[in-house]
Amino acid sequence: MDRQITQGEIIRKYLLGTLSEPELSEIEQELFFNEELSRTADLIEDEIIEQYLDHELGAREQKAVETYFLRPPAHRQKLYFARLLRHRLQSPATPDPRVIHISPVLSHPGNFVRSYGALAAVVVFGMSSLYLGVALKKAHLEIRSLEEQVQKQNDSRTPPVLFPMKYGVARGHGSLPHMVVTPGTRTIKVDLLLPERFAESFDVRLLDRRHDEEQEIWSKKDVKPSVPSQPRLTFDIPTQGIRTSTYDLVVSDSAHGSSVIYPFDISVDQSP
Amino acid sequence: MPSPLDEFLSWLSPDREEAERKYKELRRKLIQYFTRRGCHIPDELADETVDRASKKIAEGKVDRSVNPKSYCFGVAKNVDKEYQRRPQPDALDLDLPFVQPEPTWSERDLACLEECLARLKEHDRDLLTSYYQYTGSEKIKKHKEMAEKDGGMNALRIRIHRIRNFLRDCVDACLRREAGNLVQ
Repeated sequence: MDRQITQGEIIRKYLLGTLSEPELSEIEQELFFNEELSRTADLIEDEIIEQYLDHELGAREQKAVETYFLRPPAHRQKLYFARLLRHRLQSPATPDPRVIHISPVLSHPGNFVRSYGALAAVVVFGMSSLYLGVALKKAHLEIRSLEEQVQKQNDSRTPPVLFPMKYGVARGHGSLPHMVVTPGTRTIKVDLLLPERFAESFDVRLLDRRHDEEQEIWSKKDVKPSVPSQPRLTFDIPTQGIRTSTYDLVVSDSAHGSSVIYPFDISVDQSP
Repeated sequence: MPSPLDEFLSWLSPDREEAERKYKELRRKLIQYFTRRGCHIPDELADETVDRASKKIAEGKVDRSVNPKSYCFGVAKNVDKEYQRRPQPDALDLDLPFVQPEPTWSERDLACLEECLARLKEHDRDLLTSYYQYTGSEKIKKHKEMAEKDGGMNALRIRIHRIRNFLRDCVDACLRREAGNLVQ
C-alpha cells in the first residue's frame, strides 16, 4: 500500500518536473517499459488537470503546471477537453428544449467576465410581457424556478412560448437566439442569475445592431442585485422602440467597466 | 540500397507489416516520453530519436541483437538532454486557449461532445454527470457518496478516467471526421 502511494507521488513529481535523480531515471525507465504504470501516470495527469482547474494546487505546483506540465500539446489538449467537459456537464445535464444557451461576446476580459464563463438563458413569451432570464451554468434549478415564476406572472389564457436554442451561439458564428415580440407584449422581463463573484452594481444597455450601427434603445444604470442571498439582477425593458433587428444586451460592472454582451435577434410580429 | 528507415524497420521485425506496427507503437511511446518530460515539441523529438537510431543501424554501429526499444530509449534520453539545455518556453508563453477566462467553444466541439456523450452507457453518463455536478466541499461529499456505491475512491477515479478517455478519443475522432467533411 505504502509502495503504491510513494510511486504515485513520485510519478506526480516527475510529471510536474520536480523530481531529481536517482528517482528521475528510475521512474522514467519504468514508465517507458511498463504499460500498466504508464496508464497510472495517465490517470495522474488527469488528476493534475482537474486540481489545476479546481484551484486545488499549492503555489509551487500551480507554477510547475503552468511553466512545465502544460508545455506539451497533448497536455494542453487534455486541459482544453477537461474544460469543455465541465462546461457541458456543469450546464444543464441534458439540453432541455425549454432552455436556451447563449454564449456571451466578451468585450473586456476581467474578473467579472471570467466568472461569466458560460451562461444559459430562458426566454418566455407571454401576452403582456416577454421574459428574458440569463443564468449561470450551474443554475439549472434556479432556471426551473424562474420558469415557474414566469408561468405565474404570464396571462394564464396565453401560455408562454419557449424556443429551443443551441450551445455556443455568438454573433458571427451561426444563428442567434431569436425571440418574437407580439403586439400585446409591452415589456421584456430580464432576470440574470449572477455568479458567486459579482459586482455591487451593474449598468445594462440594450443596443440595436442593425446594419452594424450601434443605437442605444434603452439603458439603466446602477442596477443592484435584487436578492442579497442569491446574486441576481432583475429589470424590465420596455418594448417601445423595439423593431425587428439584432440586439446586444450589454451588462457592465459599474465600478470597473468590464462587460458581457448577449447578442440576440428580435422579430416584431405586426399581425393582428 | 535500403534507406536508414528501411534498415530500422527491418531491425524491428523481418515482417514489414509487423515492423510498421512496432514502429508506430515505439513512436507513440517516444512521444509520450517527451511529453512527460515537459517538451513542447514531442513529435519532432521522437522523429529525431528514430532518425538517429536509424542512421546508427544503417551505418552498422549497433548490434542488431540489442532490443530496439531499449536502444531507442537510450537515444531519446540523449535527445532530451540536448533539448533541456535549450532555453525553454513557459507554457503560458505559448499561444494557449486556456489562459483566456473561458474559451469560446466552437459549435463543432460541442456537437461532437454531445454525440459522444450519447454513445456512453446510461450508467456511465449518469456517473460522469454526477461527478462533475458539484464544486468545493459539496464535490468532496458527493464523490465520497459515489465512491461508497462504486467500490471505493480508487475504483471511482479509474472509472471516471476510463469514461473521460473514451470521450476524449471519441471527440478527437469526431472532429477529425468533421474536418475531413469540411475539406471535401
